[in-house]
Amino acid sequence: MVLPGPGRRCALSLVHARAAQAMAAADSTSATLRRRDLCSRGIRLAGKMRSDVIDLLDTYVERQGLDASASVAAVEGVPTAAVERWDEQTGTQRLLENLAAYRAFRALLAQMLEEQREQLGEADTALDRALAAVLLQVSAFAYHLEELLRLESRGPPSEEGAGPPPAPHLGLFERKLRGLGVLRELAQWAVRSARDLRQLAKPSPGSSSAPSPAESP
Amino acid sequence: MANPVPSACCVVLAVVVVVYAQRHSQQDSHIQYERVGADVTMKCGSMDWDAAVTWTANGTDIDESHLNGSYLILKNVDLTQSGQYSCYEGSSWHLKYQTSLRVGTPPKEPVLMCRSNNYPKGFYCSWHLPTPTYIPNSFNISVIHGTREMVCEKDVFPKNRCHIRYLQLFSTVKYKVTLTVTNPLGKNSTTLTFDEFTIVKPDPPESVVAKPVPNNPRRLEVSWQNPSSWPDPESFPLKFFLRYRPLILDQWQHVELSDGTSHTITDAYAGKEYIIQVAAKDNDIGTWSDWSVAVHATPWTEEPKHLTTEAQVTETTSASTSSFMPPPTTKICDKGAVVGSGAVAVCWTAGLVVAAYGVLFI
Repeated sequence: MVLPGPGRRCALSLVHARAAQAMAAADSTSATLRRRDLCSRGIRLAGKMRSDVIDLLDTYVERQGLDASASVAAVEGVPTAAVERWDEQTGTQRLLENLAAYRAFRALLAQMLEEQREQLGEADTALDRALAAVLLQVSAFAYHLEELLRLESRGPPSEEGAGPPPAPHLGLFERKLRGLGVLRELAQWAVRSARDLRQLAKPSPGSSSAPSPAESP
Repeated sequence: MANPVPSACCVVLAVVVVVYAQRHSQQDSHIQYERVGADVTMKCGSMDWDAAVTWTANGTDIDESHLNGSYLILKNVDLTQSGQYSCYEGSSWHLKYQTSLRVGTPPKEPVLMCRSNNYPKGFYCSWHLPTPTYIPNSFNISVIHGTREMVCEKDVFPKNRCHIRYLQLFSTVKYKVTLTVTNPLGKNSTTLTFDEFTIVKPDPPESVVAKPVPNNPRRLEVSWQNPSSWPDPESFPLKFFLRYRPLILDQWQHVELSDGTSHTITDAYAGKEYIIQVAAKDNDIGTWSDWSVAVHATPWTEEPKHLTTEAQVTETTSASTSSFMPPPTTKICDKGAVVGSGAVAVCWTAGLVVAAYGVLFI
């Protein structure tokens, strides 16, 4: 067996390096395309979710006999969408915060659904159905975010220890107000998530690096 | 050695001028504000009630009927009575008192508006009084978000506007804006409470252009740009509403467009001039902008053919005619110069006579 000479070995290494580069570029392009696709679908999902949450809010307020303009103090365990310096967040920060929020909403909505069924039995199936539909969308969105995090090579954080918040001992009226707070905050998150995904979908050098500020001169 | 007499005179003159100026400056600085319809009594400085005085308004003597002793009485004052009032001692004409009377009204509840046309950077609030007060007013605005007081930076121009930068986005906590207007006759205030999302209203789209499409008599191509005040259309995309109608009709047609800054109208009436406008809205939140500046356009039309060529074609052919062309005349009528309805009647009569002759003799 004749081994290739040094010149030939060098040329072969170069070919291998170029092939590896091309594969990496292809992978990167493929990952970028996949990210953009996931972001686009996520944006549409967030838009639909927001629309359904707003309809659910109307139904909820009506069925629970609440005043739509009632102000609700910050509810413990409900992730607030409000954020400072939003435009300075990195892509990974956005995804992690969104995922934590939707996992929490998934648990909160499941709790609300259970309380609703205990309270009214089969009496209000319209509200039940609407709650269940939104719960499904929230779960789907959480999964979507997990996919995006996997693409960032981070992988989603585990859900161990992040179980459903302990059901606070609230009276019926307090529970209704809490539900109102949950849905309002979810509606805000749906808007924020669409914006976050648009930021993520912007072409940038790396998704983990801070996106350029949204401010124009 | 210089003569001391002129120097001493100059010193005395200077002192007199200074004292006079001081007296006048103290009197000139006095401003008096009174409500429309009020009764006003002016005292002549420290003069006794029974002192002989003369009052003037803007340099014109005031009739003694308005005096009660040395006091000037103005009943039920109106806006025309604003001005400079001066009181002079009887025969010496020493100025004893002077005031600038400003007649006006306390402020009514101001009109306040807040809007975000540059979301997510911030929002602005602007205000005005529903009716003038005729005297100077000062405005104070406070903006509270939850427990936090925010700074509203006043614009240099216009003066009745200030802007606030968002410190937080996506908050469910409402903003509370209170405007207080104060003048020497009173104060008034108004409060607005709103969500971050509800006040978002972009400016209208810019650079709207409408053009005909060559060889397409029913199409118009419309394009526009995002309003320049909208800072980040990529992350905060706008959607658009286009309306158009021919000038001859009142009813608009509408198209909502969720992306892109152009649209082709495909159902325009051929040859009719159109008026077109566009409005914008954030894709997710807020309200529609005002309509853009209107543009006019007419769809492409085929150029008319030369007249002589057309007449020659209709003479030589007996092919079917279009709906816009008159039906061909008979040969008999063609021979005469057929012009006007009278000539046509003669022509047809002649034709009938010939036909009748033919029936009788064949």
